Amino acid sequence: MQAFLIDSVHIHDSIIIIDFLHMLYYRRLPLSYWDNIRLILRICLRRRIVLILVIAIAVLGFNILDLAMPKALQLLVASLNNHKLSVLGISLENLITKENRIIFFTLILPVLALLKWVVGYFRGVWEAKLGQGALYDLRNKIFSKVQSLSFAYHDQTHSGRFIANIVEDVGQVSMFFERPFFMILQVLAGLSCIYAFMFTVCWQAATVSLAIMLLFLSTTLLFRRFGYPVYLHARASLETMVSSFSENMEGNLLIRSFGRQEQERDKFADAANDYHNAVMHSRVLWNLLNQSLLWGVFLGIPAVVYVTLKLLQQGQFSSDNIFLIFMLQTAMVMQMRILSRTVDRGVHFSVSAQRLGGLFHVEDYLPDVSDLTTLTGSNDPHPSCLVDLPHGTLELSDVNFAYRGSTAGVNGISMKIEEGQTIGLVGETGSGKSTLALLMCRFYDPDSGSITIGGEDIRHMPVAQLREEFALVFQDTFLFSASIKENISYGKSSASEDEIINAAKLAKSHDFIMEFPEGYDTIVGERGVTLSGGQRQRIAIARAILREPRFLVLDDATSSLDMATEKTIEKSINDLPRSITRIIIAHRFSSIERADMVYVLSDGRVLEQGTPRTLNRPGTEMSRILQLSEDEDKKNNSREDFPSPECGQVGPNDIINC
Amino acid sequence: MAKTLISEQIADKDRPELSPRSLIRCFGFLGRYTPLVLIGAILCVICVWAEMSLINEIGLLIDRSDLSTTPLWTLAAPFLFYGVINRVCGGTQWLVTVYSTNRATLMLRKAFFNKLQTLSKAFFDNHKIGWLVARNSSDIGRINDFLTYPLMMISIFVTTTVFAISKIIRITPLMLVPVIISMPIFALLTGYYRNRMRRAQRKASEQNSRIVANISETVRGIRVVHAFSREDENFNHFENLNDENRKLNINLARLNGLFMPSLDFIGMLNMSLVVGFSFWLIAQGYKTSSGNPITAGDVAQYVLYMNAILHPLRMITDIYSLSISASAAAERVFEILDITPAIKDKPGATDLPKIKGEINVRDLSFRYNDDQPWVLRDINLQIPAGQTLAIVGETGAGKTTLASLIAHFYEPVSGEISVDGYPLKDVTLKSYHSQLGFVPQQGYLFTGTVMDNLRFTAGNMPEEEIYRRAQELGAHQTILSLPKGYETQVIEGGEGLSLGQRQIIAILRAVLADPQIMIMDEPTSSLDIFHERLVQQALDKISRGRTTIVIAHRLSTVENADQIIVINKHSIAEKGTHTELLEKKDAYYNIYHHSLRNPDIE
Repeated sequence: MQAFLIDSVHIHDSIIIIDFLHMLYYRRLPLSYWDNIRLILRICLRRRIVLILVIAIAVLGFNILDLAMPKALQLLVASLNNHKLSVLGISLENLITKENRIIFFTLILPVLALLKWVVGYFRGVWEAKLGQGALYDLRNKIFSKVQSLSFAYHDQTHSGRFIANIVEDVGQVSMFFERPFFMILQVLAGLSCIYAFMFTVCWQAATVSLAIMLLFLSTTLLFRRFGYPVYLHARASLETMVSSFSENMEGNLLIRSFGRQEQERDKFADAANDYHNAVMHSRVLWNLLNQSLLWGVFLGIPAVVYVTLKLLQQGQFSSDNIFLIFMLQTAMVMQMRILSRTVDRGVHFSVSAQRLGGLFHVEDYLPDVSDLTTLTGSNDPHPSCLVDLPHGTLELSDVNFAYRGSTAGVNGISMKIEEGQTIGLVGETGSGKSTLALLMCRFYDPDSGSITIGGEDIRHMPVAQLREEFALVFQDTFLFSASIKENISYGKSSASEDEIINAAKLAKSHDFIMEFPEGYDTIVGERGVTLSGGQRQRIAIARAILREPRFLVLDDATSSLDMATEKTIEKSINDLPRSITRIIIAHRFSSIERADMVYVLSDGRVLEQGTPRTLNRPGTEMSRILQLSEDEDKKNNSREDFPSPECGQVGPNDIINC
Repeated sequence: MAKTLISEQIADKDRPELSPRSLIRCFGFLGRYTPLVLIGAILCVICVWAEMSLINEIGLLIDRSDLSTTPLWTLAAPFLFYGVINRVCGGTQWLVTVYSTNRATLMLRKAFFNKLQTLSKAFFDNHKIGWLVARNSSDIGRINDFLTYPLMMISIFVTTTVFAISKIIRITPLMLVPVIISMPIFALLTGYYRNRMRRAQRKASEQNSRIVANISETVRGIRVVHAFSREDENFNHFENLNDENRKLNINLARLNGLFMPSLDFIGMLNMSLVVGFSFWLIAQGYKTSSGNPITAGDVAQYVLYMNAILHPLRMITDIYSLSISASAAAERVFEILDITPAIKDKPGATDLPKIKGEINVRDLSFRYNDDQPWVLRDINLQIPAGQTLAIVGETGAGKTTLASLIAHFYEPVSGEISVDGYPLKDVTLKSYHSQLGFVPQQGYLFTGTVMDNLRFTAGNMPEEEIYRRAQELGAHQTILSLPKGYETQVIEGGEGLSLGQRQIIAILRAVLADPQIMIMDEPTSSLDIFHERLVQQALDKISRGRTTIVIAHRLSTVENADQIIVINKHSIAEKGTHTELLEKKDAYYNIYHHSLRNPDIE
């Protein structure tokens, strides 16, 4: 085992280099590269121009103060060597005499430091305001963007990966705005101050130093071009490694029971090798940049010393100024270190900006008359747009719809649902039952045909208000990491405690909720107590009941319940006010036996429709689909020897055949 | 074991801040890369030495009286020489260190993963996948940072300090006085702020995780969000979280703004002490250690050395915070690395030969740990080879636990399970598991195509054979109805496929391994009728000639079983065939009628 690991590491050592060259050569920047970066920067920096200017001034001030120290030290050396003292050509002979120089030099440094402290403090706070503000805006934008994307978009994305990417990308962007972003300003200000100063002291040395510096600085530009694909690859391989890991953990028992540990080990080892190599690539590349910048500084040192010494030998220069130039040149080491780190984070940022930019470019909304969900992230609910939804028949006429990239959907369905009716939708998986329900509350728009309520097309109603009138329970129940109370009142936050408990009782969840030590305050969801499928479904039903909707849609909502509980809940739902229109998607006849109308769907078409009575006859499509009820018949016949414990009650057979 | 694991997760917060032991252990992972890291440290020392020498050179240069007559190149050459040495060593050192820690962490990552592969179901019951994923991605990353940077920083710090101080001593030891005065102030200030900063940082990062969790939930619950039109409320909630986060971070910047420049300030104060002190020394006519008067060059050197010390001094804070986060990370990782697998092959375990599938459970009792109530008590059970056992009972009665025990995912607390007369504890896990088919409650599929998933167990079986088996099972049609049939891509877990489709594929996958024993945990729960029937038919087929254990949710699954056990209150309440048990008119009878009965609603 150990030997295997070591071998694979060796092999990969040589591959690193080949891979690396290959990647440098073949990857190119995507076309929308700058568009995406501009988009993210615009979101982050809009309305903050003044703050940026203020910060730029503070940074400049900070850097000027920074350079005062080398100047002070040069004056110190000059004074000790009895040279002439001057600042920018102004003589300081009268200010600093041999007598007071001890006081001057002892005081000037703390005074400078105090000034720097003050400027540095405000600079730091302003930077944080800008960076955090930018993040705040970006996050709000992303949140409302994610919320506003249509069902169709979310259908196509893999939620786990989608979330992981958003989180990681926002993190990278935030890391960029926390510091590196300002470091660009810092380096710009720092370098210009240093060179400005150097030019006033000795233009010849400054020119030489600048020439060398520029030669090496140009690598920064190359780095962006070459760094991007390498960083992108590192990022992608991280994702592969993490998902390979988490998949293994999820399927752990299976892997073990199939005895596949070794293959899985190899698979993960590959992913881990790939990731570590990719990181190494990006580090090597970054080191090239970092080194070349530092070479620019360190090769500059002998050059400026040479130039200044030559001037000195020609009698145009003093040794304390050599000292000053030396200090200025070495001050650039810090600037270069900052610069290379900034470029590093900058490339990380550009990778993430591409992906977030891509997200923002997704234009996938349902057109909404009230335009509630727009990119601006406005949280103003536009109450003026909310008109009363018309009452009356829910009518589908010739509705056609297909999911993206798929032929499944509904084909030319028409139906009329009167207010207060109970409708049963029956059919095999993929027959279009759920799709139909989702179309009614406008999670998708039909490709053709129309859905109207009281004669008005639902596309002309504000989406939010339309959905107000619906309550859905899905087969795949999702609860939020919050208390049971909050989960039940999710659709109606104003609900009182009594209302919540009442809804829970109707959904037969009160008893099991009370068994938790914390009762209704028990935290459920991902970070809380794990509930069984049936318990989750019951809470979801309570959530829907509490909403007091006009339309209650139950999409196979009782599949995880045992039959006794299922019956009780069906009774509760049946006992809800008559005005509620119930749309029940079911697989069991017993669930829809009280429906006013049952539609049997197949391949997105209505095969049969009628009352449960008329449809529940041998030979109908429904009886074929609900074959189980027939199976139950058979069972029931064979069970006649064993009468029910509570005698005199009706058996399933009675109802089915009634 | 289960409980200790849980309490350890909770204990994360109360952990001591810095555990030197685990940090030292981190270095153990450098393994064969240790020499490289040491070479890196040596290069680092040389690099700093060259930098210090540059300062020395400039000091010497200032004092030279023969500047105008000495050939230029002899004056400039040392600067070039030290500069090149500094860069060559600096660059190489960085590469060497980063490379070796990168490789060392890779080994650690693999070791971590491989360890997890050996841990029992009990471990996975108690650790959320997300938690483990975070150990793999962020904790190991932190250990990597710790291996890479502190050593580098410490080398720089120590070398700089030693060089600078020895140089200063060579000028005159008196010049150390300001350092001695300012160091304690520096240390105290750093300590004070460090605590305040850490508290503020923790708050901010907690808030950040709240934000992340909120985004994540919104995406995963997006259907519910839309269905209940909670967009606006959610947005307001998010905005509040976000705003709070912004405030915390700006607050953090305030603290930082007070602290970092104050270090500068102390540094400058120190410097001014140095300057004032130098003047005083000169005025007093003090001589250097070599007996010459103190010169401008000496003062210049002195000031630059002091400056050089101050810079790495700030790194101490960085080293400290790196160590703290690495220490916590390492402890969490080591905890897992140190777990002795609850289930492992005992020494001398033999391979199970090809079995017929007779299972014997004798006096089996199980609980997750000593303080917890029994999950199962005194279970006795015989399943003859090739027969089907159905396990019935309420949720939480212990059905899944019993099945998992038979699958040897847990070790019984007392009692024994044997297969064909071989006690499970005496046979190798692999040899047993390779003859076992396991279908969990919700068919879990791996990323890859459907065919890849089938190849998981089918190995190199010819495609025609796989198709034939699929047809036998009734799965062929289901698979062909997928967008790309057998080549349909499955993403993590099986998102995109319906539960029924997943379950059918999962069953086919288990069957392709031709196991002698099949264990199925509620294979038809949460399926719609259509798929339930399909799965049911498949079950009937695969149970022929195999020992099959099925946990039943729908009683239709049960009727054909050769033996049914009802588990009630952690032990077997009833045992027998469908007819026998109904005649008994007891527990099974009640469940059976309870579940199929249509209560009178009126």
